[in-house]
Amino acid sequence: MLPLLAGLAHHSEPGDPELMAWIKDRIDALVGLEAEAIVIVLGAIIVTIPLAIMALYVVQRALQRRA
Amino acid sequence: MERSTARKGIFYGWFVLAAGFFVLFMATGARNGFGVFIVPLTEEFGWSRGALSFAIAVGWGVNGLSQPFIGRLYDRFGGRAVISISLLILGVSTILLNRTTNLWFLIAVYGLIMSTASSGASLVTIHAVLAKWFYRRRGLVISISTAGGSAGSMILAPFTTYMILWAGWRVSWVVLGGFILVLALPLAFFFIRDNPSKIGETPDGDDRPRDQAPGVTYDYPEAPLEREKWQESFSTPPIWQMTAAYFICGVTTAIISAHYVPFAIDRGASPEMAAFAFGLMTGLNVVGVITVGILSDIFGRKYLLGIIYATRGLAYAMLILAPGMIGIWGFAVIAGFSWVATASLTSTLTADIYGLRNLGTLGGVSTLSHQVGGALSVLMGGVLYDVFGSYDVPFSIAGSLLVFASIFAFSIQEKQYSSRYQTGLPRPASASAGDGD
Repeated sequence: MLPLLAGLAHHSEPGDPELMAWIKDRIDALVGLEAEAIVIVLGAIIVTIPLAIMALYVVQRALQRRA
Repeated sequence: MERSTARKGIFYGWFVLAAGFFVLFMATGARNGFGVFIVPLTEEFGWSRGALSFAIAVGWGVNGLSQPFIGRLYDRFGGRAVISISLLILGVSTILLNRTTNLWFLIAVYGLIMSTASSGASLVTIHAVLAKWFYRRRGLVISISTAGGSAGSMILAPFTTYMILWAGWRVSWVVLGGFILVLALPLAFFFIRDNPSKIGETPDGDDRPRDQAPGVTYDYPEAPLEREKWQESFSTPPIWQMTAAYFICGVTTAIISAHYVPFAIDRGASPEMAAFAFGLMTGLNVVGVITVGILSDIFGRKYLLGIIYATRGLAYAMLILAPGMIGIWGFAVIAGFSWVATASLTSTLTADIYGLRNLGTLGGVSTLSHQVGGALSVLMGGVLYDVFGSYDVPFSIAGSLLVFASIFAFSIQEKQYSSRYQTGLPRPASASAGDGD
């Protein structure tokens, strides 16, 4: 394998398999939830960000109109 | 000129920042999360890590090469159009990855299409948009948006890991692509506006001068080195100084991304501990980039940029010279603070010196140099490891280069060239670049 590919084979970006396995073990040990429960929690966090931005904007517009 | 208290409500620029933060959160997070799919793909198709690494390498190269071209499109058509179309393509291509049955399909969709599209929803375009909305707080705002990419990686990577466990890798690609299309795309299309004056706003939300002449908008001071054509910028020193330093930034971050974990294992760390040290480093960059953003608005950019490169150099010295785990953890902590702070400072300084007209293209060229430096350093790390049997030599070379990066940054004539140190004057509205609204 080319050295470049050898390097990339053990690249350590946040999605690195070893790092993710370690994080998964720690999350499992800490919260002990099923995979689907963690997906729902993290998914809710992700969805909440844009919804909160939208909600803030809508509320602000409503307040401005009222003023 | 501060915003009048009579004007109620939140300055619209903060919504642009929020949208930019989430765009980077999703786009960077989804693309960086590819590593999570390596194990399930190798298990299902029997592909080697090397084969999958080829797809990553293609994606890396394409992403770097496409940055100047996407940056040029940004300068011509504006951020809203380029970012929205990029998110559309990124979302569709991410979903398409669930149809993967052979390696060439993966290389084409991930390596070519997705990596090109992610150039359009990247630091270059988001920073360029935000530079139009903020002048006094430009450093902080650009830094916060940069942190969005890091936050996205930290949340989306574990999310995708558990999603794969729960529903499989094919569904996970669909969910990630769906998030981009349903959450990030509407947010970008709805909130991102290229020119504050077109919706009756001003940079930083400042009040307009009462005696403002017709046809003139109080935008931002003319940058001393703002040129009609982007090529003309390269006849001036600062862009070379920043691009050269950013090249070294690419060298010193990519070689660590590729070789830090095996280096730590060679030093006696367990794979899990080495991975955690790297995770700590990527986590700390959120704190580092925002801190640097705040400080840069107060103290200027070049000194901080120079200090960050010097600090990273010290971290390299510690990594090589300090014994055992001290070097590993010391590097993770010290370098972690500097990891992405250079990106926001380079963008901010480019905007201050060269203005907004060609900011997308100039940012794209800088990013290309960063990516080229990164690719070369990964190659160098692998080759020199094979020759010397350790990472000491390649890491020493990379660390030494940071001395030059620091000198390049310190030698930028910021007070002479930055608009922050010029007198603010109104300028014709037509001078605003990329009015894509």
